[in-house]
Amino acid sequence: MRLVPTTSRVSEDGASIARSLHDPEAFADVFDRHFAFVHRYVARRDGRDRADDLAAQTFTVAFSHRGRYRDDLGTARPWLLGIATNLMRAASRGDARVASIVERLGGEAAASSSAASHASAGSASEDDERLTLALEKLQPEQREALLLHALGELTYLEIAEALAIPVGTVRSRISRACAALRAELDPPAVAGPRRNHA
Amino acid sequence: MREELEHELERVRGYRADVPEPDGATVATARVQLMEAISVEPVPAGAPRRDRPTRRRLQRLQRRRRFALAGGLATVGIGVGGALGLTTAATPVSALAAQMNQLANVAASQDWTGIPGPGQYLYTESSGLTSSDTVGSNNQMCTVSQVEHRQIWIATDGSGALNDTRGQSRFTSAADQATCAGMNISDPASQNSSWTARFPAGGLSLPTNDWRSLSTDPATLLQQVHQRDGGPDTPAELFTNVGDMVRESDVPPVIRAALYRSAALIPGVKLLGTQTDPTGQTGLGVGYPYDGGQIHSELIFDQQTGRLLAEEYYDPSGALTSWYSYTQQRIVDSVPDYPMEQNHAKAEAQTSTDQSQSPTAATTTSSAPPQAAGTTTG
Repeated sequence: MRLVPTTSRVSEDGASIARSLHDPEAFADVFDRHFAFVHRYVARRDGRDRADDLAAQTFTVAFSHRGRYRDDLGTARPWLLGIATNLMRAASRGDARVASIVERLGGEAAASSSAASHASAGSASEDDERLTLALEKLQPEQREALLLHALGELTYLEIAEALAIPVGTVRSRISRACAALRAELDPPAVAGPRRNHA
Repeated sequence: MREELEHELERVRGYRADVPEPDGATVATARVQLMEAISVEPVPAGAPRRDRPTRRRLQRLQRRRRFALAGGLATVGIGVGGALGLTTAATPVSALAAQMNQLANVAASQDWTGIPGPGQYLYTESSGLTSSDTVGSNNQMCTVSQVEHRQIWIATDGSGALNDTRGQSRFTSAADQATCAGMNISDPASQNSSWTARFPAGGLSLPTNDWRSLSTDPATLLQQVHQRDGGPDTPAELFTNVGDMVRESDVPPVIRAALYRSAALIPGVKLLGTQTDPTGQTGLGVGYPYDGGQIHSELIFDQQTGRLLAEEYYDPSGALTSWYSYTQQRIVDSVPDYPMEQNHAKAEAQTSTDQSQSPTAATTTSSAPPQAAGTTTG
């Protein structure tokens, strides 16, 4: 579905990317505007160990695909975070393959891909640790949508554009993710044994 | 239900909130990777002419001269990660540092440009010898040398105008002439060009130069400028970064002064003494050399005002291959009524644009390009 742009003016990002089609170095403007945010997003999501490589790769991939960019939303951030999300998925699949190989070889079962990266995130707070485990249990597509909204600060519309899915699907994934988190982190009180009314 | 949703969202928003933004070294490393990817991109067939050196026509903040393209420069690797190998306060003050400090003091006290106010523009006029390349379908390149006359008006929001005329085109060698003939370019005059256009906000530079974010400490400023301007982590590139920041620029006097002091911190920069540019302007020259010591690039500064007078570029044999002489710079209250640059006019008219189409520059051919004063053929 082609989204109708909210503005008739070309954004800074749109202008930079359009120029970069015939003047490639213009793409560096996009890097300058968004690298820090993308890096921090990846670091919070996947851990600092991989953030340097994944964030840098996001921009080289974006550069090579800049011909496909659509300036419908007035900012390249959703597009960039969409690329980062795909890279993190691919990295996770690689980790999962390594983990299964290690397991078959009789080594310690490697932690799940994102948990392994979460271990290096650097935050030791108890809340973060609980949240890490709770996020681990979410379905991957729910976790992606939730983190793009909460950490990536994208609107539902922007997430829909970034992931190429309908807005309604974004809404339901985030809603279900939140419900699952609530059930995991704040489980309802279990009814106690009946009193004996002697 | 909505409150519960918002409660969970708020909890996740605070997830790993202590993770900081990347440090300067990380940003610089990633930027280098991007620029390397950019530098190896194949030039599409029939691509517009590419200036050489890479003096960018649009965004002055993006003007970079690719020292990496000129082999044999003193490109001692200085290491990624912030170790720029700058001289320190403990280093004995050299003649270069003394001269650049004196120049900096003059620059800091001068308000010869001022900063454009609302509705005003910094006007810079320059002339010089440059070259342009046309890439053919088999990636062969037809190069001609050209005399350039340039007028640029830039406001603090990046809007303005440009009048860039190139003429007296000529082949620089028999080999170039043969290559061009193979591309059906037998008359170098066919490469003469003229470009006049106005630009909206952000069209000529970033809408906010953000000079306020730059340090006045020379070493810190040099690192900041390098991160902003990009390029390899070499002293030669640092010298390029300084030039990029001071040409056609409304850089505040205090930052200009710090930039001049920072040039003295770059390993390998040479003090050249009094130099005269091809238009007859005389000033203090500083340069960066090839490995063998021959100067590759030179900046000439006016010691009375502190402004940049000229830039000169040489090949390894010492022949002057290109130069730009900045003959006028002042604040003006208007720009010529040139047509809006085609890319921006087209984008503003559309609400749903196919971004895959390459925008074309509003370039027209001039039949009578102006003569540049004191023109030399290098």
